Amino acid sequence: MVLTRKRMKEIVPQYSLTGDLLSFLRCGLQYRYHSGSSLPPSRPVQLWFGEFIHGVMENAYRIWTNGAPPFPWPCNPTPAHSPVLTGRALYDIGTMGDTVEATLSAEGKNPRSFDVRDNAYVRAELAVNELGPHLFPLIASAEEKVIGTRTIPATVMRIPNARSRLYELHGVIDVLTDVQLNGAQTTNVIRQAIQDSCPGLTGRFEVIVDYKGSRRPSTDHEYWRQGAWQLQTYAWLRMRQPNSLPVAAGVLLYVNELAPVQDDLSKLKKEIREGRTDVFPQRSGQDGYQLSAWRPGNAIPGFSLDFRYARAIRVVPVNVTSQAAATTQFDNVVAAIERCVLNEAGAGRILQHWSPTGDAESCVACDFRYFCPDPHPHSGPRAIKAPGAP
Amino acid sequence: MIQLDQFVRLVCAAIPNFQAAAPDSQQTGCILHDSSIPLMIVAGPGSGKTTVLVLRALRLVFVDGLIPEQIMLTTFTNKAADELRSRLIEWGLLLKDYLTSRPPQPALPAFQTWLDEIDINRFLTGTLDSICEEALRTNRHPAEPAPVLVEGFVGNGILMRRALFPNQLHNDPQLQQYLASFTLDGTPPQNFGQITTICRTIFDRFVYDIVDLASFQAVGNHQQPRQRLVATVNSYRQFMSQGNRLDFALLEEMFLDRLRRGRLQRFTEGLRALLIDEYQDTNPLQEAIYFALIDQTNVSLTIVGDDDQSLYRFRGATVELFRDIHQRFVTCLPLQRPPQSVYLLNNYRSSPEIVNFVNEFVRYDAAFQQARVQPPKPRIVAQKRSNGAPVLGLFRDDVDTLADDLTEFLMDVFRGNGRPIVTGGQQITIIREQGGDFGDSVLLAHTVNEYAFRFGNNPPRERLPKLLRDRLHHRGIGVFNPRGRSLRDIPVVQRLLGLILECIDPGAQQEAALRLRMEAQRYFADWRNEARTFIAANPQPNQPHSLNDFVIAWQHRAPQAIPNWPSEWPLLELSFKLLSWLPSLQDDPEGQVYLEAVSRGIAQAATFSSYRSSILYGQQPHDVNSVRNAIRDILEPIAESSIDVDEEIMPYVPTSYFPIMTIHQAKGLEFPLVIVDVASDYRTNNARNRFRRFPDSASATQNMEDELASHCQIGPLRCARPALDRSFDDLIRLYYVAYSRPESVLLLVGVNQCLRYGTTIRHVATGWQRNGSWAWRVGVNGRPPALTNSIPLTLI
Repeated sequence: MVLTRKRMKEIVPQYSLTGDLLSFLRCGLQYRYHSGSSLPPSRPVQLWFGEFIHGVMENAYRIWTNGAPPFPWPCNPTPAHSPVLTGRALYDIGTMGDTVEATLSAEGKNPRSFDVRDNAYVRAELAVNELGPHLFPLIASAEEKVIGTRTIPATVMRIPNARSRLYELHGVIDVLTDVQLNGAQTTNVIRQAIQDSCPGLTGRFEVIVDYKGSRRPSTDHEYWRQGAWQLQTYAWLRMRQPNSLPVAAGVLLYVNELAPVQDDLSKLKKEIREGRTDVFPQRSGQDGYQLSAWRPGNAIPGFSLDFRYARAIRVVPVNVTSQAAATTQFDNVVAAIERCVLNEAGAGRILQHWSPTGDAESCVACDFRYFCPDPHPHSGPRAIKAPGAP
Repeated sequence: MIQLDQFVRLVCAAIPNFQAAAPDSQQTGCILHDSSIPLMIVAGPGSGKTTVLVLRALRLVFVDGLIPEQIMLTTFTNKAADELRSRLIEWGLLLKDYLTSRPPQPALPAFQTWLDEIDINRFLTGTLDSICEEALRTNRHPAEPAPVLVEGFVGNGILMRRALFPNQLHNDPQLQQYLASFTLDGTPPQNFGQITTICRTIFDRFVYDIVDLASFQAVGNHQQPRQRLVATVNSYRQFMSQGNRLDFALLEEMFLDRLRRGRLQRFTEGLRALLIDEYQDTNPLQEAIYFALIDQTNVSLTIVGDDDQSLYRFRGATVELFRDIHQRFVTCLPLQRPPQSVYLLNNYRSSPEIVNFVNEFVRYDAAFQQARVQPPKPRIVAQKRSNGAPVLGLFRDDVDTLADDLTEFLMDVFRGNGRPIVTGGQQITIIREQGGDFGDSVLLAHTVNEYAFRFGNNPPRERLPKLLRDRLHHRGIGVFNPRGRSLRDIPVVQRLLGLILECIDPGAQQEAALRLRMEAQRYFADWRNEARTFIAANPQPNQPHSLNDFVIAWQHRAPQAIPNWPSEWPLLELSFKLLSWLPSLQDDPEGQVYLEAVSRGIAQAATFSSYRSSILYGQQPHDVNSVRNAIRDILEPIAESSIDVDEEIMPYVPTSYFPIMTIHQAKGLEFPLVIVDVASDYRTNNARNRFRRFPDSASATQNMEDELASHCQIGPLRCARPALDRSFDDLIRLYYVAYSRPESVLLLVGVNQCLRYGTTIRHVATGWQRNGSWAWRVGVNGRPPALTNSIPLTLI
């Protein structure tokens, strides 16, 4: 009597565009530990900052839609280690920040230092007061969940025991439509940016928006390319939904550009020198002089609002070809993840099947750098050295 | 849309799975059942209930014209929800593609427009908890914070810190006496950890059973302890509410509250159909949620369950809600039509021999029949052909011999030329299929702990799972049994935790100042010893310095890597650094299961522990207090087994591993070869283990149900059967689930004392009935035989 073989239940894996695919692209091995094994980061600074900004913007939009006074809104954060301030308005950015901080804290996410927290409030205040007046009136649907199913490329299907021929992809976006855009004031900077990048837009269409709690990457950086893929793929997902309109463009909002810090300016200067950024000040203008004269250690110059908007807002035109190219890229990422999963399952080992691919910045802050077999610059397997205390 | 009578034909044409075998007439009846009449499907094991549920949901879309976002499907576990969703997407897309390429004639433009609007990904699927959480998160007032769901360990940490201590529950002899009837052995709780565990169960019950707390504390024999408990649960709820935290019970309660107050209108207004899987494990609060949804939305309702497979009474599951669904509708939803019952009896999983064994087993105990859906589900009917293998038994004099022979059996089947069995005068050989491996089998048991309970400082007795692990390991075969050992007992985890202790608290000075409970003290000593032995072995990497140097540097806060010791250092980062010396936690998927549990403990403690799981330096008294907090809030709970592993983070267990799991874990699964450990622990009729085989008194769970019965609406229905009977009923259901898991071979194992004709070791799993009669024994004239004489097994 021959035993049957246990059938693997075919489960359609679910991937988040940012939480899975972009993380895997950042580093395969780190993704395995953080996402596959759910190992929490020891210092979730970027995680806290990104979620704080998102949380404040989401709350601000909700309050704005329910009627709130004109911008600017006050920002009176509760001082660190102090009882929550009373007497502030619901639309005080300090009040909103308390709510978001409490939620993050209950999830174990806290700012690494007082400086990080202070900085987050500065950026949140600018995001609400400088982006809010332009962005909020354009939003037709906030926090829209988009989901779609795609086929995993055939390379994986040829591997025995592939867990599915399909995968489910999801994300969360804000959606703008032509109605809001055409109805907005001509001085609306987001409307202007979209029109500049996509001249001649007519008819019914949508634009999707996502925030980034980071600076505008250099144009040769993989994050620049991945940001565009992300918008294209969100557009594809959005267009799967019933009653959606064609997506004409995507907008990424790099919130850190509203209040750059020392490191941001050092990088910007370098990128300008090397021709690796698409937005820089005119040499002859006030912003250009300020940046040119600036040296690490000097105070951060008071750049013009126009310059900061230009750095913060990135518009990516969307069409069928660009969508197809981007979604194919992500299909390949999913295929690569699935292959790693299957190889690990077959061999019962992790390190040899998940490649460490982080850049220098990721590797320096990685929790697993001490035993990573091949950290940046990825020059091949190395002998592991004992880490030093602490 | 598609005509109802064309739907099954469409399914068979579009979905390859159904081209060889179309849904049978029972399944078809369920799929096509009038969507306006509530449907209750009593689904036997292996009867294809997931298939029916998914096809019924798809029929609601393609025939009735609902859109997927109007259809909600709930099930009991995340794993089952993933499977349900996968089938919906896979089959839904196949149907859509088929209809796109072959539209019904005459082809109308409106048909394609309608088809395009169907977004298969938009079905609302999940566990009820996950759907509640998402609905509460999405449907908030402006500026209202999103709820934060806390898991067991954090919830218990908060319970302990913010409710039990402030209300002095650790120091109340009257309360401890009251809690005695809710412990395993009926004695007062031995330590604060036990008090916490029992209080957690009671407090969850308060919510799940919708207990009237005013009534609970006002009457009865134990008014003082009851009042203490109510005061304590109020403290807990207040603290949770201030931080916008919810545990699973409070999450469901808040959902119901908002549903009733009309705050979830955006969620409910689109709902048109509700399909509920595993309804037999629903609790009264969940029933109230479902009934509120039905009442408010008039949804098309389908519920699926099997009362014989209800396993979760200890979590508040109330099988009577399923059994008496018609009466529940009449009482609670008088304006709704009660569901029509349909049975799914065809079994597509197991061989006829196994199905026959299962059918006989569930009918041994006459008293159990009254606890079942009335009239009881007819015999399930095998649809597979016989493979010639009878139900097997492997029983030996002692557990060591049993482990030896079971290992040989497994090696013969999966590595050798097969195991010949003589049955009915003929020989068959059980052997793996080509490419088959140990993962095609499983050992199921009531408990899979590798060690028996440890008394004092004596080494604990090794149980069958441990003996098998050792023997298979010796043959180069891995065993996957993540629940077999507490986190605290796993050597590599002991090493990691011991190293952490040695680093942050040299000489155990802070540990000594904390007056820890005995159990924690004992484990801390073990862990430190494990770490010291490991350090002494000078493990790799030992350049540019050794592990010993690293630990000493930590002990003196003398930095090796940076100029000054930082004022704050996350404990999580220390543990990640220590992984450098613990390769199995870097590279072994099973090691990740353990590492995840430790890391989760550290990260989650940061949400309630004063120093957020960091070690401070240079600011007394915070330096010392941060170490004490880490010990108290992270390491002590692990030492007291308060943090469980989550094996679901491991997507695949390598097929070369032999899996061992509890019967509860195996619910919903199937394996070609299933080995059920029915009696490896039972050499004598020890009173301590009777609750696991033939109870002589009600268990803690049933006692708690009785205690709360007069203060909640569900009480009279649930307690209509005496507590002891309910204990027997649950044991029968447990083994019914175990015996119905195999596809090809079922093998019962144990020590053979339980099979002696004159045995005093009674066990429901071996055919004993609560009235003391034994189905596997027939009376004889003259001298009784040694072995009982009506065993329905082929002994090997």
